[in-house]
Amino acid sequence: MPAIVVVAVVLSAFALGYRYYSSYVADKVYALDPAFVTPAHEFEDGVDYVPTNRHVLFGHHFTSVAGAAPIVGPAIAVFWGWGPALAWITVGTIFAAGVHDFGALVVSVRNKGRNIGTLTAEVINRRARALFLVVIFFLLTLVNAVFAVVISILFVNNPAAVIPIFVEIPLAIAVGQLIYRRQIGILVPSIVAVVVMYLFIPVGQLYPVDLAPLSEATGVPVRALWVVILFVYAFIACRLPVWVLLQPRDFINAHQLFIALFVIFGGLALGGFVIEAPFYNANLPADAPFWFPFLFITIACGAVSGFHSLVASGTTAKQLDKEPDARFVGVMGTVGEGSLALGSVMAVSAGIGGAAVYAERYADFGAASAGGLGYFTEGVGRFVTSFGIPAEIGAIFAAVVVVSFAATTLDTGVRLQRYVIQEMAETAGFRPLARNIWAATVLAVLVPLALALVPGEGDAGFTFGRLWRLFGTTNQLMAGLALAVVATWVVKRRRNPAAPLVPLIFLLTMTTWALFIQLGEFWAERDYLLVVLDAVIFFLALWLIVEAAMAINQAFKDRHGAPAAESDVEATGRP
Amino acid sequence: MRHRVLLVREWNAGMPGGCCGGASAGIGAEGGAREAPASVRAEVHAMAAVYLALRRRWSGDEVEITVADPRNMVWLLPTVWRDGRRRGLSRRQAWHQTRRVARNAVVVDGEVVFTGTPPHPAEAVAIVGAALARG
Repeated sequence: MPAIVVVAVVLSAFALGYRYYSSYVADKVYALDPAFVTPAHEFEDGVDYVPTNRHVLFGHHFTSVAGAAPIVGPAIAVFWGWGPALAWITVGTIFAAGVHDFGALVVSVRNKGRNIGTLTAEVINRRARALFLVVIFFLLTLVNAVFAVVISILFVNNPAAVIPIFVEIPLAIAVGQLIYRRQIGILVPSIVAVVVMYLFIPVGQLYPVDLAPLSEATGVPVRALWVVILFVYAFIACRLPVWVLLQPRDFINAHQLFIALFVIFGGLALGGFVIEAPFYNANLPADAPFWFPFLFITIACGAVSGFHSLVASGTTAKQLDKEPDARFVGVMGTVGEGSLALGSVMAVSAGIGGAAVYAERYADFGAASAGGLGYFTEGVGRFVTSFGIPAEIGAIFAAVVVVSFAATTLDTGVRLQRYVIQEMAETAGFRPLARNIWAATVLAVLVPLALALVPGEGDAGFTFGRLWRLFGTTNQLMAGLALAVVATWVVKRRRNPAAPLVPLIFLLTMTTWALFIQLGEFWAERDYLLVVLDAVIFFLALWLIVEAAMAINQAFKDRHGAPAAESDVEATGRP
Repeated sequence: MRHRVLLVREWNAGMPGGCCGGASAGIGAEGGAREAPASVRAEVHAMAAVYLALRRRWSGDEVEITVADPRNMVWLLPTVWRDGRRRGLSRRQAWHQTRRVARNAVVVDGEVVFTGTPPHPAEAVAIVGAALARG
């Protein structure tokens, strides 16, 4: 089937979903009010609370949520065929992510721009706030572990990408110095940095960095060496002020995001590619995980991601000019993320090079999870040939883009984990850890490092498929927590809560089911670290189900006697 | 024609990271603001004072005052170009203005009227007023 036809169908579904379903949710479920005074106006201070044009705000929101994760999951999930993967991306984007991101934004706006962590305590109860912190801790641990492994896999598969990526570090520092210290215009340094980085792609091709000799000398697998190097980098990078390296990277990544989208969809359209992977993979090995429920946790970002509720409620809600703008900003952000996931599915199904190649590469789940990203970069490489650029260069370009995003996420993730560890230590009254940045940073690095180095599924899998599934489940749990807050709020307002309740129930069912199956698998294979991790996340899922059920039930009871709530927070002024 | 005034500065609580990273304010941490040096925090507050002064001076609909993060280049730079062209600048002049967009810049209808250390709010109002009168 021509890939461009499938792309057109999915994009049309996104457009229809935005036009009709999000309109229904805006009018009938969230009951958006153009006259409502948003926190951006109520607390306007020019610092955090600033009424912002919805197109500007969409730009902030989308670049905050878009990254490498919606590329990784779909590239693995094509193991079950491109049909199930695309169906979940399409349905999830419209009916789960759209409601989730949009809802988190609206609830936050109706509660003085408070973040989802604070809202769990206020809308559900104080216990839920503790649950939120624990879920976040595990989520960040898994994020940091999986993204370190993602980068290491790409470096092993694309040693030519190492030099351009390492060149990006001094380039970002130089961009930071020029923009922050010298205060010169942002356009020229950022474009020059991107061009210079891409000029180093042929240099990387000439001098690929292969750690095999070091691996032989030390006896440590190559991927493990890269993981250690990456965490050493993350430890150093996250101790630097944000403007030195982290923020300047965004000036480079902002260009890369749109270049990548243009290259994938432009190359696909110009080249007339056809999908060569099967619609549904009926030749799965006997021990392969079944797509139901594992598809729904393998693709989290790209279909629905709990992390978006943190962005929507923490930052975006404080800048929303008019309440109806929440629909455009929240839903279009998810559509952008879904489009990235669509591009990933196309790269590994239309750019894979033939049905026989697919059958060989997606022979089992371990191979799919270890190789999915490599197949994505190769697929993009083939798309790039439509512009007259050699496929090898295109593949390195794709690896550079994914690693750039993944490295920024790793850097930020370690910082966030440090904050969470300090906050948890403060809550627990353990002052030595709460006040010691170095100790918190060491802990934030060592835990995911250990997790990333745990052997499993042999060398081919490098434990990645399992870690990725656990990451997906935890991310869906986060989404479940946000949807529970949204559903409770909707019930309190005497509106029909089906729109947030259905994805909430679906996600919690899929995550607990998958966690239960995995628990048995890990136990049978004596992977005890993952047994403990899975058991803890399973417990958190059950805890969330109980809290969500109690809160929603109480809200139903309350709405028989009390007037509809506009805000769950007392009007005590500025939050 | 409705006028547009752009103030270019980072969001205080924003932090990069993409999916699964750019969520610091959602967790409760202050993100970039938490680790920003005092000089950067001072600039953010100085720009906030400029913003509030401009909002007080032009509170109606005839002037749209927008704060944009410099990292939001995909919206920011084409907007400066378009505003400049709409104002009657030649392509070369519009390109020159687009290249001048920097942190802490104040842009009036596609013309960069200020860059560098944020001015005193009263001075900013005078600079923007003069630019609006020219446009």
